[in-house]
Amino acid sequence: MPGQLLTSVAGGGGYAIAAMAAYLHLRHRSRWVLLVLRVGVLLAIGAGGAYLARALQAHGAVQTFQNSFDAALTLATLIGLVGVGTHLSSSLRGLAGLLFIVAALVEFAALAGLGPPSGEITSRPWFVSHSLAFAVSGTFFAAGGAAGAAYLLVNWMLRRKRAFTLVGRVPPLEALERFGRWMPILGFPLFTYGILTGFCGVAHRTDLRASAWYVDPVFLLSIVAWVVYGYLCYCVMYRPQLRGRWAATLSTCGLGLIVLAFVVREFVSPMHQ
Amino acid sequence: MRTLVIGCNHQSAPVEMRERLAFDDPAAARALRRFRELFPGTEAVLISTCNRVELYVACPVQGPPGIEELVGFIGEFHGIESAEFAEGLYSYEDVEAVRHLLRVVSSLDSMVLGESQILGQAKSAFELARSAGTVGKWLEALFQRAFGVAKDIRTKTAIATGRLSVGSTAVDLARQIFSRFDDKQVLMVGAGEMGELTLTHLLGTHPKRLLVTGRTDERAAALARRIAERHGVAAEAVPYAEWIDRLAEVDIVISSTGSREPILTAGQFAPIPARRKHRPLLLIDIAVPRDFDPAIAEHYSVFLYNIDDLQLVTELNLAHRREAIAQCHEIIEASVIEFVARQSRQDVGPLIAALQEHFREIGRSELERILPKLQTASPHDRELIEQMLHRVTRKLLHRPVQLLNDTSPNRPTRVYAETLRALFALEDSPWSRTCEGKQVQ
Repeated sequence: MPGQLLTSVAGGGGYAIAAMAAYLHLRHRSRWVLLVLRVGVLLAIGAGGAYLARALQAHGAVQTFQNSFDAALTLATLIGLVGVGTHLSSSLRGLAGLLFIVAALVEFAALAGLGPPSGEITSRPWFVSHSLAFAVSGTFFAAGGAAGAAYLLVNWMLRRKRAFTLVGRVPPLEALERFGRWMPILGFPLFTYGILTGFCGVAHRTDLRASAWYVDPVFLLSIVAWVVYGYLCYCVMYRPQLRGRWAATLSTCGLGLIVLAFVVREFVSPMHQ
Repeated sequence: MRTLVIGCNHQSAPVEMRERLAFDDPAAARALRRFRELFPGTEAVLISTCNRVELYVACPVQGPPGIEELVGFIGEFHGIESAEFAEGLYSYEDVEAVRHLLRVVSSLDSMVLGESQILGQAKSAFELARSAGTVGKWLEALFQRAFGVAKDIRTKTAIATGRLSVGSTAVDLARQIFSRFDDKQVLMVGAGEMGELTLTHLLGTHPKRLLVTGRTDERAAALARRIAERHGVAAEAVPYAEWIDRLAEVDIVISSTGSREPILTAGQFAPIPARRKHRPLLLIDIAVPRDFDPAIAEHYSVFLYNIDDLQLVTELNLAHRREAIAQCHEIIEASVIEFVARQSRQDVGPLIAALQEHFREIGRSELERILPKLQTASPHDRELIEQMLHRVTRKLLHRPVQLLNDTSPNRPTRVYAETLRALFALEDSPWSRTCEGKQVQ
């Protein structure tokens, strides 16, 4: 417990500091701000990575990824790593701040799942892929959603002819669109797989009433998100007129749904806690 | 040492005078060599750009050259009577001169606030003076400090942010929309001067293809030839009747025709986005009256900027730069105080040591003269006499040393230092010695 608390606070704090530094770096290019950003990210990813490595060693992959806290930490670390990737990319640099905000939220929300791994479903090792699929697809969706939000912001900036001081400091629309186009396409199959394995997992649960699963809010939100992302993928691939601003809006809404589903999973859902 | 600067800039003198006083590199080198012959032991750096001519000098406090001699030197070198140009000159001494240099290299004194060229020009001028042997420790320290401050100001303040020309602003906008240009096509409509200037900036992004069109085919062909000649880039002439159709292919359009009516209306544009598969299209309308119907911008894939939009951006950028001026001045003031204090300490340190040694030497020689005559004095008495002499020396020097150690920018420390050197015939100045050494080389 104290280890989880410390990891979550260090990780969430690190990402929050990195997000603030990323914002400041957009406005004032400074070596020190960049240093703070990198130290914050290193602290967060280091804390998360070290905790997960220890948990994997102590409990094995199956128990670790089915544990609520560890699964959330995995998601936050993956999002943080994508954030680092965008920070290092010359064309997506300004996107990192948004991803660090999402990672910080996930780290802090993970506090709701403090506790040792539950042994209840460890007899079905394949079920670990349910958590992993959601973690990886959640990372793709978070990246796509952040790109969508950034696209809307930059688009607004360029159209309203406001905030021109940020011109050249935030990623170009074209790069954001390209990045935002691929993320849902990569995440959607995994998300589908996660939902399907969720169905299978429920079928094996003897402690739940047969009708309980379809009123679970996480399940309902996941289905709504699946429809949204499915439509987004369809638009991206087959409806060029719905690209750009429309796709960015949809991607941002999808991210909102994913974050909501995650929060509900951590705090509300009886089946997922 | 004292620092002097004499010169003129775009604010103090008209371009006709600046032209006459300007130095190209060979002339500057000749002038610096001549300066060295005329004023040995003096350091000098000559900055000459299209907007300013300035001579920075570091010389002993009491010695030449003075401001008038510097004016005479410049006039004599160019063969102009001093009276003809003296009115357009300004001059600064010591702290003011240091502050002026810092303002100049930080481009606070430039015609285009925050421009970066002046720093490079000042560095070149400094290197030229170095190779001419007119840079000693004093100006070396001053210019290195100035370059450091200029760099600090550029990175820590908004003085260099944003573009100040319409052409470069248009390119910034294009870079904000597109992440790469090697797959982009640019179409230029019309042959307006401003349009061509914008195109010049845009060609720096190396687009895949350049198309040009004019209201007659001959004009389009002539424009393509002219662009190829001037910019070394192959441009394809598009018949005017076809240019709207070609909008389906291109990504950036620069328009600067002299048409009284819009050359592209919302109705004409309506089918274009679907044919483009809704790829982003940047339209830069520099013409007055405007070439593109503003309603075109309502389509989400179109980014339309007219001359007012671009000028607004440049004005906003300039306003941001102006807002940063106060912050720049703070940095400069702090640097001036720190630099002057450090240089004063370095300047007076050896002087204080020499002064103390001078007084001690007098005391020692007097002791050596008087002690043999005091036969009856005991060793204790002799020790008391020595201690008394030491105390007297220390008390005599207390006030002068205190004054010399006061390195506040407004204190006449250097005058005190030079006065003491002259009064007691002290030869301690590391700066003048260094400069002499450089000249010998």
